Amino acid sequence: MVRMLSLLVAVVLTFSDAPSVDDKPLAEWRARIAPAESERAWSSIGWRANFWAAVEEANAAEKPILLWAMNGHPLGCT
Amino acid sequence: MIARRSVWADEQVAELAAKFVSAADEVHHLQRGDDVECKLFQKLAEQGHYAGRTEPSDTRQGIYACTATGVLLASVNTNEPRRMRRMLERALERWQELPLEQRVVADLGEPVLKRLEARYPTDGLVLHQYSRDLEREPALRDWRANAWNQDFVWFTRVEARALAPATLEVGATTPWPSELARRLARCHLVDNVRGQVSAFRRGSVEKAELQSCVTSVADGRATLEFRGVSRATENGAWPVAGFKDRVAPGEQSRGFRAELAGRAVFELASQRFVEFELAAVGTRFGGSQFNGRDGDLEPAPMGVWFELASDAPAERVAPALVWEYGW
Repeated sequence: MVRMLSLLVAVVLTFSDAPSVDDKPLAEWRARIAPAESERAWSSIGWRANFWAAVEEANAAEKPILLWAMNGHPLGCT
Repeated sequence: MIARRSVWADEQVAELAAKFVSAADEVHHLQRGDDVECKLFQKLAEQGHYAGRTEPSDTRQGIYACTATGVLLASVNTNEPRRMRRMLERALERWQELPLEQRVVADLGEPVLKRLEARYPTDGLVLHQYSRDLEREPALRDWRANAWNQDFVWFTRVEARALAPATLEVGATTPWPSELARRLARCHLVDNVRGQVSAFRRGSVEKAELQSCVTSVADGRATLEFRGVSRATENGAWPVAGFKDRVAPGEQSRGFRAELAGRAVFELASQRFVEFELAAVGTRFGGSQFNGRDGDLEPAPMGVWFELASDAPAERVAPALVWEYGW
């Protein structure tokens, strides 16, 4: 309970210093929040978005499959 | 999430990965489902690195190299490029040793898959969402300093149309339907910067208001501006340190208070958004079991960015909390 109260007090104190969406134009918010090109290197691997799509393609091409399976879809929120 | 910047950004790993047909998928679905895709994964996973494991969880997450016939070539769960390279090399060696009949299936058939992506709103609105911590003092010095995550946001055609005024003339305004504004607050204005988080409960949303205003109409397109606020606070007892405090979770509070602003272009002929940008900026606090905030529970600034997603397969992934949509 003490921890929750202290956190709530901190929230109230901090909220007055919170960043405002009007601090920057939209383009700057995008540049600050969305990943830079250098942070998107992982997507160059060309992931299929589901396991079965890879199974079908690999079977037709006679290639092995690489599956990245995580709690939360790796191409979404993981 | 760390793997995006460690393992999969490694050039040598990428070179090896090019020798495979690669896929990314959600392991909970693959572990629990009963269609042919899930059954194949379950067969592979029970030969892999977490086979039979039940503690600290029964997850089978990781990276698997396999054949379409269900032969596991190798597997690992790591964020270290060197270990990943070794696993991929081992898998390729094993592949070379296999006879053709163990590499391919004569006929895979056309199985019906039970996937959330079947509900993808083809004629609606799909947004790509990104989240990241904003500047603060003292600045963090490890991977957390630039951690970011992503998700997708779905609206049906009817829902998307309701985000714009019924009459598209300059000065027309409309509030977003309360259910949609609250859904955004519960499922997408959440702290997933470092990992997965559950939705805010319905009663935890104190305020979720967004307004759309038409600022211009020209060439069959209406330009809109968005303004809004969102405040959610949730109290209770839950773990915040992964599996370390799950036996005796302490009292916690988590939340996000944000201002929102954005713009969009709505095409009159197709009745669809052709441009969409929305920023949510504010203060987050607290943590949840798997969002990596242990030791970082105090209030700190966070931003969320939404933009139009493409219809490429990699952007047709279901929102992480889509079951909260009530579709």
